[in-house]
Amino acid sequence: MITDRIQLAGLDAYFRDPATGKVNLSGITPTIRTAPLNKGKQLEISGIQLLIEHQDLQPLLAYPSDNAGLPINAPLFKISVMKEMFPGLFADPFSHRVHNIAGYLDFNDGTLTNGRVMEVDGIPTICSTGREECVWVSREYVMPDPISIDAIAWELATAKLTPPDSFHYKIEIALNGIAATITIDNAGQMLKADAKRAIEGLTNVNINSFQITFTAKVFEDSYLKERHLPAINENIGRPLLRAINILEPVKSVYEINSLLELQNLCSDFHLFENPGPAIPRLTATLDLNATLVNSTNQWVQPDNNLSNLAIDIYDASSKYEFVELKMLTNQFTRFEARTNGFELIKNNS
Amino acid sequence: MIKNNFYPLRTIVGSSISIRGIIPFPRVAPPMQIVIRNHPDIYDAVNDEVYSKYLPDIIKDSATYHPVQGMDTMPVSDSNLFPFDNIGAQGFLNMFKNPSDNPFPETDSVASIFGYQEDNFIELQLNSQQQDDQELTNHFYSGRDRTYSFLILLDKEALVGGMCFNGYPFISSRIENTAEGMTVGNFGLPREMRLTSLPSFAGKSIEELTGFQRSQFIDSEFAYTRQEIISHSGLNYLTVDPVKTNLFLLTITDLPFIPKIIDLDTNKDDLQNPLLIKGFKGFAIPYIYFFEYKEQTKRNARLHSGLLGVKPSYPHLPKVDGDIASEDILRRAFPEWEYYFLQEPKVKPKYTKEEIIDEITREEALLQNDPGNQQLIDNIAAFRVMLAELENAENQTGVYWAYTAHSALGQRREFGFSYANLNYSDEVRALPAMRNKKTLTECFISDLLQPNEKVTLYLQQGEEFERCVAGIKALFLLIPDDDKTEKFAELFANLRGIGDGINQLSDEERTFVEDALAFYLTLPPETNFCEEFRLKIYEVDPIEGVSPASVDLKSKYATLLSDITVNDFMDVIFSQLLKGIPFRKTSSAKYFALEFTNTGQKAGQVAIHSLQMIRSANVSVQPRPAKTQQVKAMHYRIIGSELADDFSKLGNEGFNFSIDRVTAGQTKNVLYSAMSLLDLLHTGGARIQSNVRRRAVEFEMVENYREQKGKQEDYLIKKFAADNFSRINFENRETDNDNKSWRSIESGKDVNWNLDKGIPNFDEFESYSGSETRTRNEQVSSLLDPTFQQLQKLRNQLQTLVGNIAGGQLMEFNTASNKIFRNQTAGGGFSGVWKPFQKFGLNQNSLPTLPGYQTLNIPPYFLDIVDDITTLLNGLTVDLGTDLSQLTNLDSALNLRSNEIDSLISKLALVNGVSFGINGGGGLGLSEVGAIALAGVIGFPSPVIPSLSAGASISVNSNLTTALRSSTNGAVGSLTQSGQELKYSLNRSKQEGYDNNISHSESNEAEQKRIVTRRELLDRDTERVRGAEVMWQDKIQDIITGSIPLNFTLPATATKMNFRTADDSLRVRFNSGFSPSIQVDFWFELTEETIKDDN
Repeated sequence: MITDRIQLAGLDAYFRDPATGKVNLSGITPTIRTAPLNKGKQLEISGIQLLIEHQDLQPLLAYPSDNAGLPINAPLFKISVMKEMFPGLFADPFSHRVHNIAGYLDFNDGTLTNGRVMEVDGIPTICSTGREECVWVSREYVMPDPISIDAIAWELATAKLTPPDSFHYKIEIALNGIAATITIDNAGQMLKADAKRAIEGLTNVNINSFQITFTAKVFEDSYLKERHLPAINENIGRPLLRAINILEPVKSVYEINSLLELQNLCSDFHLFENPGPAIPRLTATLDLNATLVNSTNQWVQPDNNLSNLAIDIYDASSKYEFVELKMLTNQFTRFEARTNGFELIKNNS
Repeated sequence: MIKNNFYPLRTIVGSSISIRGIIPFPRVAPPMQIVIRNHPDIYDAVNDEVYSKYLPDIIKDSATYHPVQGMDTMPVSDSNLFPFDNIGAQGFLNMFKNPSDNPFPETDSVASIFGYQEDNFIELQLNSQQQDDQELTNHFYSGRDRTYSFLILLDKEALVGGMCFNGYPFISSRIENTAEGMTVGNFGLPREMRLTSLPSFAGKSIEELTGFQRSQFIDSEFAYTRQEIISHSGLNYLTVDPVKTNLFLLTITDLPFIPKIIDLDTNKDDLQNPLLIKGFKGFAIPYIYFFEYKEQTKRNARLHSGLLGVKPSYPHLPKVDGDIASEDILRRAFPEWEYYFLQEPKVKPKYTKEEIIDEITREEALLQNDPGNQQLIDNIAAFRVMLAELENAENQTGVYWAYTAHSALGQRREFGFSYANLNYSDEVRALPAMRNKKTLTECFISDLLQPNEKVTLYLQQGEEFERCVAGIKALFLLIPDDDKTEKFAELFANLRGIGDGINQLSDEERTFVEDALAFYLTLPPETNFCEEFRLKIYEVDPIEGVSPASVDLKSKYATLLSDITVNDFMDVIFSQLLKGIPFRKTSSAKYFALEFTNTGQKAGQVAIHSLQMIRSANVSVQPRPAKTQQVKAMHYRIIGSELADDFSKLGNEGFNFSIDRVTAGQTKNVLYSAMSLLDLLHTGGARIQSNVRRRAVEFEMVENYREQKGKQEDYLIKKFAADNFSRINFENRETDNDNKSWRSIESGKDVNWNLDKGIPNFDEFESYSGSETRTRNEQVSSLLDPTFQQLQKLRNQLQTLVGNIAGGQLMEFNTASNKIFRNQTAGGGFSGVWKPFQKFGLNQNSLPTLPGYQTLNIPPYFLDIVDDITTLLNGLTVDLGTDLSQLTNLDSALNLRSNEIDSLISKLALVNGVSFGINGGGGLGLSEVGAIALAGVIGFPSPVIPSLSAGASISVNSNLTTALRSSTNGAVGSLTQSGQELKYSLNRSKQEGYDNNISHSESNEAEQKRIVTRRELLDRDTERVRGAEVMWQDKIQDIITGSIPLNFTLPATATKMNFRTADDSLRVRFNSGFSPSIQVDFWFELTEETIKDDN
């Protein structure tokens, strides 16, 4: 196996206008993503170097406001990171809060039928018992403030490579009492064991409370070797649920509204001042750590032009790991962004 | 993530604990037959009719094939590569011998539990099917079976570390072609087993019963559940945290499906499901041991392993016209080769079927009483063969036997089948037999593989913890197509007269050589050995919930460890067998896949006589595909009785080790190295629990000490206030002796000294002495009695005596007895009897008399003289009368008496001589005595009596010889005072003796104050004795423990984030191996995290 590690260099390290290939992104408001990585390649990004020029950057130090001095929503630019946060679930970890329902406290706080909570490989896990349906109903979780939910991922003790019919399950999340329900199943049927363990694209908003119901039917046991409380003549089934992760969208700190916000995020921030009050130029290194890899779960939408093998990485259905720069204003006379980091390859993946 | 420890060397299996009894719990009649056995030893479990309940009949072309005799056995496993019992000179080969896979002696008792059905067989369903109640049906499904529990009572209460058990390994091992990666029979083992430790059954005191009882705590976790998708065929372990008890509850469920009928006819036209398999849900656990918890170290190279299953790459489809595998018509029944036999008896037997059955019954009864009688065993086998032949003829039934992959691991059955019915050619039968063997020995033979067809064996490590595996060793059976083999085979064929003379192995020659190999291995001649095959060995690390047998060997969860082609006879012998097949890296995986591909030009069978895993000489932690490992530290402990003897080495054999970081096949960094005990201690990470050493030989001087007050040269001794060292040293001892002995002393100049030793410096054993004695004797006379102090009293007494002289005693005095017999007081008086005389019972008031010596001298004519005197005196009395005044005529008076006087004088003169004289005159004279006598007689008042003397006198003298007879009687006392001074004495003697002394001494009180001074003996410094402070497993040992922090990560190689080399490992290298005198244990503390990108 050959492994190599080089610093990012050359034009490929720059965010360039996808239309023209220009490095200077002034005067335009493009969205620029790093390209999908092929298998065996990995980017370790440690930061983004910025060169920003303007006749006078001084006004941009302050939060944008209208003539009346009221703040307005006019961010300068935004940097997003798309990661496979959970197997099969791509989302920006900087713009999501994760509500993790797991552990003895949560599992024992609900109602468990035909199951018991056991520590499997050191992790509290709901295990089925007997041959009847194993049902776990959580308590109702009440939020201090209303939240939105745009994705859910769940973790099961058994890998998806297990036989599909080794167990079936479904997840229901009742929102705001019985006002709405997120049902995770397969068109009314239970999910099979090898089904994708994440759902995204949810649009549920104003959620004050939620309650989870996990239902599973086990057909085949798995590997288990654990010490536990005595269970006379009770058949222990299969380790099942370990966690349910509910993703709530939040504001990203990398949505830059002012140069002051930018400075706060930079380890290196230098304003170049000419004689006079105007500040024409700044250089900065935005601290942002992201490791981008190829994933077997990624999907890149083919280009509409079917005559070639081009892909459309900006298509809404394209899911892969990338860093995205979105220019939201065209006020700058020069805006260059370059990724700092390393590129790793291996040849036997 | 879980904190875990990886123990590549440690075993916790101690000695086995006999099982006293097993009873189903609760005691209800189960739907299946439950059989419980308790065998006194493992050999007793070899033959049991219950095994036949787990072997199927095969139906093919309307004939039914039963398992041949010997199929239904559970032989004792042989862990050796060679069949040592077949080879004469075993001494040299002993170096290849391996310890048994079974950690317990073969003589230990073993229990068994079986559950089976004999009828109401159900059809096996492997594909999910909708039934009327919409329930999915699949015999791989769990949770559908009843739970069976058994109370197991052990013989003794002990610290139990777990249970060791074995399934019946000859149930079909085929890994079904489904997503589950399971075998239907699972070797008879339930897929879920639970062991619950209960309080001890008996022997508890009230205190123990009311003391800590774990079962009374509702949150005490003392049940252990083991679930497995697929189990292996060897010894399995269910370990528990050590618990002291003798009672367990074993619970089993999720039972395997045991095929009883494999019907190749009924569904032969169904290309998807060509087999009709019927059987029952049951279980078979022929071996159950419970073992004591005891931490030890495994040192032997062979690593026990079990077979998970056999997975053929070729479809098990029905034979169709033109099928080139047609010679193996039972190919679909088992994943290994089944040999079948269906033939009418060639010779009509001389017995009827009933006679044969009777004879078998009779001889089996005899065998019960004489189990080792080989003649009976052979006879029974022969009769069974005859019986089978008869039944074949009657019912169109045949027999079959299978060459299972499990047998290559050492547990080989012996099939009872007549050699006469095997189709060996005459040339082969003419070969010299190596031994007179009547059975066929099992080994692994695959189905007939067409070129490029594969068969994969899945193995699992078989000990209680995962070990580091360096490779495998195997004895492959094949006739390769290489030049050396061909020349050898050609030569052999020529020797036997088969060769065609052409220097190339012809088909005929090859067939002969193959048949000869089969003949010597007791295999059927139809065995078609591969010319060559390729073997690829993978380690398999499945993610959670996935059977290792369902892992795609090309996926990231399988890592290729070895890839060889076996096509050279010398390689088979010297590489695969002796040197082994080393892995490209040490593997600590639990599962392995051995993929065999027939790479020859012709169809052939892969045959393996024996196969074993070889553990690594080192221990290492390697990256795993499915788990990220954070290695926190490496711990070690070294235990040995002589470990701390010398700090320049570790133990007598000089154990040492190094920890290497191995990257890309090279030792990039030696993290740690310890060649001596000092190295270990120098790092600070090692601690030693050592027994004290001190000199065994020392010079010692002891001075008795007594403090002398104020003396300047007293020793300076640290003292406490109450100390007083001024008392004299003393010891009061009371001794009782019982002594028996004898002595023989020789002395004198003729005594010889014959011994070389103790040669005396004198010539003879002489004896002489000189002494001087002075004695003073005091005679104690009666006259000294105080009563004689007055002379008057003597006179009176004399008067009395004289008066009684005629008839009384002459003299008697008794009063001197006091002087002799009593103690004399200071005042001259007497007290009690003198102590030495007290023992004679003397009474001081009646002491024996001391009358003094009385001497009687009797002269001659004594009586006559006495008579004369009596007459004289009597006459005198008459003549004198009483009135002295009448004594006027003395002359007449004298005359009157002259006759008597004459007589008297004459007699005296005769004896003493007589002298005559004449005297005259008168006067007074009287002797005082005579006066007294006279006064007494006549009452004369005056003391002076005038006398008249006239006449002559006669005196008698002794002029003549005097004759006197004396007689003395009486008693006197005597006091003797004696003094002696020995001037010189010499006594040389030779002495022999015998003493038998029994002594009992009691030391009543003692006080010794001593000053001890010790010095070393310079030439004996290394002679030391050890203390007994540290004990390990009932032995006095030194213990070194240590911990080396590591803190590095081995990422899961299957994760998408792994961009480091996977060829990275940590290795502990033991440069001088493990010596027998020390126990070495190294283990890694690590955390493991299963990767989540699980597809």
